[in-house]
Amino acid sequence: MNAHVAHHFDNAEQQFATANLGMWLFLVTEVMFFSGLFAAYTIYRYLYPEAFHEGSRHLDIVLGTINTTVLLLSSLTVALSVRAAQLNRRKQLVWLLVATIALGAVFLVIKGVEYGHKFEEGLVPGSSFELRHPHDETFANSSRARQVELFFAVYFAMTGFHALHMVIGLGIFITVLVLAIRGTFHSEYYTPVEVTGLYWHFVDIVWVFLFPLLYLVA
Amino acid sequence: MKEEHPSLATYWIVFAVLVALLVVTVLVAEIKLPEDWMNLALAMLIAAFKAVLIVLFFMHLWYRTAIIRIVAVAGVLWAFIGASLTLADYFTRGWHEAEQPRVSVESVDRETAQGPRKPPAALEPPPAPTEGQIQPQH
Amino acid sequence: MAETVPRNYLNADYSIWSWFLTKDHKRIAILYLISITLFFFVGGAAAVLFRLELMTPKGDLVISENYNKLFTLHGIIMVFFFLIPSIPAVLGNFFLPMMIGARDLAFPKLNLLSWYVFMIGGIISIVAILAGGVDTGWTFYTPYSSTYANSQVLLAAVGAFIAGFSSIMTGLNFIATTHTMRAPGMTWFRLPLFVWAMYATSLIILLGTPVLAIAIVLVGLERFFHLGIFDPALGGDPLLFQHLFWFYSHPAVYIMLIPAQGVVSEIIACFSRKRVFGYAFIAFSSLAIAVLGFLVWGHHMFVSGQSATAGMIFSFLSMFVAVPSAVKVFNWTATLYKGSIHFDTPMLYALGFIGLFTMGGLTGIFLATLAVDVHVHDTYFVVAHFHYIMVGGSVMAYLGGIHYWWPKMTGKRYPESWGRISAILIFVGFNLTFFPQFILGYLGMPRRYHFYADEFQVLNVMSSAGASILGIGYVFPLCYLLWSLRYGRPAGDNPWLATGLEWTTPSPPPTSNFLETPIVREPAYNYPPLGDGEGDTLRQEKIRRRRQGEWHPTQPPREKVTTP
Repeated sequence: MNAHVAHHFDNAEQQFATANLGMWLFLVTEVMFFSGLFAAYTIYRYLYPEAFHEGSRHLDIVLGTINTTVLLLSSLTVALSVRAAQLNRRKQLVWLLVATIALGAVFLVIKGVEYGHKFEEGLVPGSSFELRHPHDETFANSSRARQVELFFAVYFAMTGFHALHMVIGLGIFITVLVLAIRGTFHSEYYTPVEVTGLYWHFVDIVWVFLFPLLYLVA
Repeated sequence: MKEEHPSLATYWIVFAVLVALLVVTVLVAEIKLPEDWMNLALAMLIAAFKAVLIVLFFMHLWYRTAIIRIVAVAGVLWAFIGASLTLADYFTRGWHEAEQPRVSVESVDRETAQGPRKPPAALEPPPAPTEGQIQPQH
Repeated sequence: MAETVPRNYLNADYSIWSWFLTKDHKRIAILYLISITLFFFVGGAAAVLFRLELMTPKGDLVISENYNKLFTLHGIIMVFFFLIPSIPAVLGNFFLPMMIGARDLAFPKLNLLSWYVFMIGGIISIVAILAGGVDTGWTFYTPYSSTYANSQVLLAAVGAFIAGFSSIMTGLNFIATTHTMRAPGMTWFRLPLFVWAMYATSLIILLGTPVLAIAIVLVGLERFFHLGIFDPALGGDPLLFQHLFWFYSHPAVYIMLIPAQGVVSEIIACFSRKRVFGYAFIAFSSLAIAVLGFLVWGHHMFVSGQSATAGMIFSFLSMFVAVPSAVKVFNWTATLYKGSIHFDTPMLYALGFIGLFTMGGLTGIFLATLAVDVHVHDTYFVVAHFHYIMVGGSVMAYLGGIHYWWPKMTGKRYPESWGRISAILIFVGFNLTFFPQFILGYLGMPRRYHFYADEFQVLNVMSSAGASILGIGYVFPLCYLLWSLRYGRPAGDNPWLATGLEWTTPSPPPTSNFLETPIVREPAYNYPPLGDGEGDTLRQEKIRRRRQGEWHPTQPPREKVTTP
């Protein structure tokens, strides 16, 4: 449809191809951003394996597994929503977008619950961090405890940035949802759905790696 | 715009495989393999496989042109380059420690007959931390 | 008589909002031009102050802490707010679309956003300066920056972080544009080498800048939320910051260099009236620098506590990164050989670049040699080395590009004699400023100190004297370029008779660049052969202009004189 082709493009194909390329290029920058965190994780796990075992034991594998499943499901709904747009099925598109947003919100709620637990248990790095040992009162000041605090610094940095990216993704999806409800998308033009979907899949992939690295160390 | 895309069945099959691999990952984590790094390697292998599935089918890379594929590979490759060379530092610490200087300071210092100059007291280095014990600052 | 000036991108709309909400890449380039010029003089002011301080061996002009703040300010502003954006955001934004025959960049709104993000980052950095400044050095090393510094580290880090996003947006735009928006017939190997340079630069921007972002963000998190990722008390390693920081900041120097090399390729071709020798080699060398530049960052960390083995690996790899640059220097020299050389202002800057960049690059090899670096690390040798490349190289190429494309951007010609005087002044001032610093570093004067041993004073005074000449040299173009906007001669479409699609448009170009999409059938740099002497069309044109009395800067062209 010519109405959607910007003046500096020759046709809709060029515009779609360019938008697609642009989003993939952006995802490369995101890969590099997270790679710094993954490098930090690898280095500190290499240096302090026992502390990482210890720290990981404090994370809730059940909640983590549920979250991973939720996110994988949301990737499916995103992929299906793009397909719905390609096939001109507006209602299906809208509902799949709603499902995606809902699943993303569920993930964030569960994450919030986990963070709340960490606050209560005194496992947030900083002056309030305290790792108590049932039999050893001086444990909290030992170097092992400090290294576990380092584990949690890495944990909060990685999951925190992941959650931030999810929040941004949800914000964009809400915008896309509003546009979808208004009937902006159809088989000739669904670029925002596709490229936002790409972003969401990337966020999912980051979590696919974070889950075993943080939750399944022990 | 006729963009090639996966069929409905493909999407659902990929999803099923992803969930199955998630279950495998959790179960394997319970098993203790002979070496610690094997658990990590296996988990990362499964995660990488899941990522590849998501990239190829959910993100449609299977159907895209060469340039997009190059972009995707380049991103991962660069992350590896950065991590590898950084790790090259950490993995090799302790390999080639600086040896003690073979030339004694006395023989070099010809001006002062009294021998090597000592640094002023204010510039004395602080006592070295005892090995293996990190003293918390706060 | 007054002619009606045709509609171009400058006079299309005069309202202020048509500038601040523009999506025209050319207007955005002008916005960037104004901004980075302002930042350049802010960073330069800091340099004036600390060069003044360094005239005497004692630290008598400012206290140590303030001296630290001055060189930090200079580094942050000059790197993040002048050099990194300079050629890409001004000349790249303006000319990349035109050179490939496109109407605009791939994402015009993203382009405008990049300028706003740049300005926000810049304003935050200025606020950091006004709120007390930062004293960590532009390198923000931990644990000083993360734990012990009392200065505005967080603000400055946020400013640099935000500026990084601006850079990423530009790079992303350039790559997408080059891939998808080339005009029919504009194959990759018909592209001007400037486009190849922009492309390679954009690759670096995309792959490197995010790692700087995470490095800075982690310092911020440690300062603000006590997430002690670099905190030794927790077992963290301050060196990890350096790895993450230099993983970007070494390729960053190539972000600052490769565009300059692209400009030089364009200028050398035009003012030798020859196609660039070894086009493919220069094109691929830009890509090679981009790739190799990511493998060498540890050469900034030889004495930091990095393992000796890693030091050796990085030293070895660093030797390779010089090769593609050397290939370019040889190819430019071969381009000059048997060319018809014109010493117009842009050419003076380009020739200066070749000499000074070569010196800077060779001293880089000294520094890449582990055994030598141990002695000259953190001395003025390093300072001289990078200023030879960044100032003697990149800034001169930037000025050369500005002069070369000024007629196209503004439709006016700058006064050529003032241009040449300034170029020579800058060259002389630059060498007087920085050559003594090589000697100072070799003799052992450390950098980032404002007091020094008495025996270093003579060289420091020479350096400061040179800096004042250099400063004057920089002010001159500011004056005459602005003057030319009102009083300069009209430029015409192609005053240099250069090849390239940008020169086929009117000066200044219309908003949509081309009335019809051009179709490209010729190779790049399709200058006529020089052999018979008639091939130098620029020389003929200059003779014609002189005969018609057009050579004086302020005289309008006179009526054609008929010979009896």
